[in-house]
Amino acid sequence: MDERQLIARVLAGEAAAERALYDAHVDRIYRLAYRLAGDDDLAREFTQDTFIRAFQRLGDFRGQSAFSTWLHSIAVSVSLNGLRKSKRIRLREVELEEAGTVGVATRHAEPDLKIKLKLAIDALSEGYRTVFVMHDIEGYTHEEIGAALGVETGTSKANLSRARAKLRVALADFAGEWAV
Amino acid sequence: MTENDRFDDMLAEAARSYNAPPETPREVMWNSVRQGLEEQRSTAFGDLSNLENSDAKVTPLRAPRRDWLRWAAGMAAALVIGFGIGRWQGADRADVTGSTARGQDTRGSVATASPRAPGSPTDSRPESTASPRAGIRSTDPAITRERSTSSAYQIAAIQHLTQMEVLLTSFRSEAQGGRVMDDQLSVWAADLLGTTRLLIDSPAGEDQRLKRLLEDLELVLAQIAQLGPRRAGQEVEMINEAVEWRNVLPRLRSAIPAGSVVAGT
Repeated sequence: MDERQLIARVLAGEAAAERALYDAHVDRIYRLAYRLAGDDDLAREFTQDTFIRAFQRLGDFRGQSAFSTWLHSIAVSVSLNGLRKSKRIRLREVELEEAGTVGVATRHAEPDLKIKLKLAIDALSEGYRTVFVMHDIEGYTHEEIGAALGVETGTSKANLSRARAKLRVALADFAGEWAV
Repeated sequence: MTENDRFDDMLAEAARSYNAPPETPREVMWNSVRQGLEEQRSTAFGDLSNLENSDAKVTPLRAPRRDWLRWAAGMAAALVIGFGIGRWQGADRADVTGSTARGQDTRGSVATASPRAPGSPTDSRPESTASPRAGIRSTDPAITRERSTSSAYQIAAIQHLTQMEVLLTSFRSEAQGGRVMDDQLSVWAADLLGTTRLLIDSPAGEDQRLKRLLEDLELVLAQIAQLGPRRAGQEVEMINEAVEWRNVLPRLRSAIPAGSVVAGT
């Protein structure tokens, strides 16, 4: 069924259509929320809030962009606002720092690289991290990222480039693994 | 392939493990979404529905800019009346329970006032030592009074929420227009903050949904009240984000029964 028809049916109060719309998008929204939050409870909370808001405001959706784009802009806004306010993210960082010190002896081992990478990604600024996660990990296009974050496509590209540069510096210890 | 390209490939490969999500908990989240939507759609504070005037039309609040001071004065008067009713009934209830206690001998804390023989030393104990809460449990008239007291607080809560809506609407309208905000907006927010805290601790706060809303409002009010004379755009933006994030205005509007807007206008 065409998504516009589905939306019209949701607006008409059809519960089955609401569920169908949820099913069509929930995986991608949850994955993104989880990648950004790194915590199942937060990811669920952000995903649920995204859909509650989206269904509440569905009447405001004018169809000027794809529904997915509109939904993702809500999801990113909900997730980033939620993360800013969540104290849990600080606790998570502390745990990760502790985990990071464990693998120093095995510098070039794969798990160590992943831990260092995780720490380095976490240390990126919110804007860089969001673009990096969306583009390099979840495979969103710069157009999709720009629409979700409310920035120009060029800004998304520039932020990704800066994010990678910062990660390159942070992971300089592992240069040997890709230099040759 | 450049070194940077190789790095990017390696990075993309390694980054797949970054916060790798588990399988989507579809059903659990769907149930929560449904529940959240039903809560939002249903009229807030079910037991307040009987306070609604069924003939009254829902009047959308369109507070004229700068007109909110007149509103504030009217609503503050209504709020004071609401609290006054609550306090008067609370005092009245204490009297009733005191007299109830005199007529009973063996019911829990009521016994502190009752098991005394005429002429015994304890007979001179003031009647007011009987716990008002003991009376609530002991007699039906007291329960009835408890309910009406609770209703009075709820009326006060509605009046308060109406003021809150006007304040937030004014705040957002001025913030969106990029206008310099009136200092009195912060003063008004500080006043409302005090009332909000009173309400959280009052019988009105026993309604968990209302309590959550009041707690969210407390946070937003504290932010507005702390806005300095030089308001950074970021501060204002953060307040707007908090209002948006907590879905405050829609919750406020759904909490205010139709017809309650007329007071103070």
